[in-house]
Amino acid sequence: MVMPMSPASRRAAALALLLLVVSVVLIALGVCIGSTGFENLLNDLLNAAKGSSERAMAEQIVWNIRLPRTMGAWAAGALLGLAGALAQGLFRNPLADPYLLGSATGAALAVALALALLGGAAGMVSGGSATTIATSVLSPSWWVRLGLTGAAFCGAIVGVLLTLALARGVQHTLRLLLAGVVVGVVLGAGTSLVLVFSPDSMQAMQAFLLGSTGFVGWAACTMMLTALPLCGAAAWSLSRALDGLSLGEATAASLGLPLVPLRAALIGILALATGAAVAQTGLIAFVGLAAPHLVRSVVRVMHGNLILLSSLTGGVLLSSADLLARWLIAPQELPVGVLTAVLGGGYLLWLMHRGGSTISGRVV
Amino acid sequence: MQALAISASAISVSIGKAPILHGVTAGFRKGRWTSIVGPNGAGKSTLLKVLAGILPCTGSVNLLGEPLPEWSRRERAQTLGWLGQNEIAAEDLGAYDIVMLGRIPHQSWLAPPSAADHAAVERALRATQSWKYRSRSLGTLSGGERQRVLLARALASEAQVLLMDEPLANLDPPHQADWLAIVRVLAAKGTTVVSVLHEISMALNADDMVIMAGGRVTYEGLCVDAATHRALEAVFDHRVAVRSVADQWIALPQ
Repeated sequence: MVMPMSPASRRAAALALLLLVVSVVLIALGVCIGSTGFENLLNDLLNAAKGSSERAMAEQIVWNIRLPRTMGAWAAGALLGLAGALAQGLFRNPLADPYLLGSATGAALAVALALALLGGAAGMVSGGSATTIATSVLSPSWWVRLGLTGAAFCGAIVGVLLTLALARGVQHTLRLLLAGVVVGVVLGAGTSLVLVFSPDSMQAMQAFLLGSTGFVGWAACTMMLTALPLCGAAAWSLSRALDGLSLGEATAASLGLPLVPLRAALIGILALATGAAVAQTGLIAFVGLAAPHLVRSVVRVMHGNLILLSSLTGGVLLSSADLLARWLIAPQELPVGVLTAVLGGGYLLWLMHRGGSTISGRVV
Repeated sequence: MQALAISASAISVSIGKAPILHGVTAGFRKGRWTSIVGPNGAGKSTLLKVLAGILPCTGSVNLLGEPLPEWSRRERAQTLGWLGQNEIAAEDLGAYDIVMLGRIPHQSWLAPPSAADHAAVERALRATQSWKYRSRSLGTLSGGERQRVLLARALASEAQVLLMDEPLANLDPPHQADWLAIVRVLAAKGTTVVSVLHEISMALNADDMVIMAGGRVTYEGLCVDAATHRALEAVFDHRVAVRSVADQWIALPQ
């Protein structure tokens, strides 16, 4: 039997392998790069000749700080990349992105609300040193992280549904985009309002709202690394239905696809992926938008592969941004969300400039 | 009189407050090609969507003797194929992959495409003469090539009843003739084809004709009947005249 797509599949497999290798390299670099620049802590850790205090120090830094942060950045990027691929497929809209659809801002508002209601005032960063208390946004506690992830998930769902209600459906790109902007602004204002009423958590929340990987510990990292395969497997299992949706709703319905439960499931996965990332790293823009576009610009893929490759690309993008954020103005650190917003915004402009075709061509 | 493959009974549809169809009743015979014609806004596409079960309505649709809602979603999709007007598809997908999407009703949830799926896709691509650009992405194809790929997508489901809304859009005359040949082969094999067509001369090649105006069916008959031709001229306010040229019926603008 002729399998004409095998060259494309081979390219997809090669890209996946490349992204995996790059991911491993970035994570290794992430472990070695700190406020003092590059230092080969892995060597300290693995070299038996080193003194025990050096090794203990290296272990402390690597194990408690850099490894969870680096892996967390990768996982958050992968979740956002996955969410972006899902959103673009579900809404058949190339500008769909967790950030632009209101799901990320919804998640952020829910996190702020949860903190304010659960005594977030107690959780703060005092004098710049990260003395985290029980319910801070920076808290490493498992229960707090789980609660914040749950809140972010609910907020993400509300955000998407609000955007969809305002846009009266998904067909009109411009309307969807405008609705997403409106929801983003309103929910963002809501978040600011919550912060005004709980000024003690302001400083911690500010880092969170700017998007930062700086406070990802093992609990946060594990939360994302648990959500990632769950969301990935669920999304992948619905990938053929997403392919069918690319033919438009009428045709998808005629192919026997159950559109209502399908959309509900996809929005649920989208919200879980976005919520899991946002609850740990705050608002990180454009990774979800850029990852699927980057994949598509390299290889022609159906949704099954797109979901996988977008996740890997998202992971690579955010890991790289995290490294840059640590490196660019070391020993100071840039909030990674600021970096992705600048780079991603530029990419979006370039995408729009390169021709309406890419942006409008995939629109219903 | 052959049995009906699909029929609509007392169908009414309103979009918003605007009524589109007013109690439409029409039957489409098994193994025959029926074209639905009528002026713009007659409700032709709406009726086709109702037949496909993708537009809510009052009234009932019967598919092979069973009410449409009693069919399972999957069995209905296997039996009833659909090609929409100006159907869209992701520009960056390959033609082969798009046609494979037509096999979704035959595929189980997570299983990869079977040999039968690949064979059906190849048959559909060859029937529409689009096999040669199977590995090109849709965005790189011309309007006509693209339309043929989408037709192949509809054919790939190998459904017993095939509904097509404006399938000749973007096709040049040679490819319109090819489409005609495909439909005749399908009908000869027992497939029921229902198509909405603007090209009246092409529509006159069908076996049966349903004429619509103002959300109602005004006439049903054989395409070769003189009474059908008169009804056709009447529905277009006698701005077309049906004539026989070289053993073919054509509609001339008046």
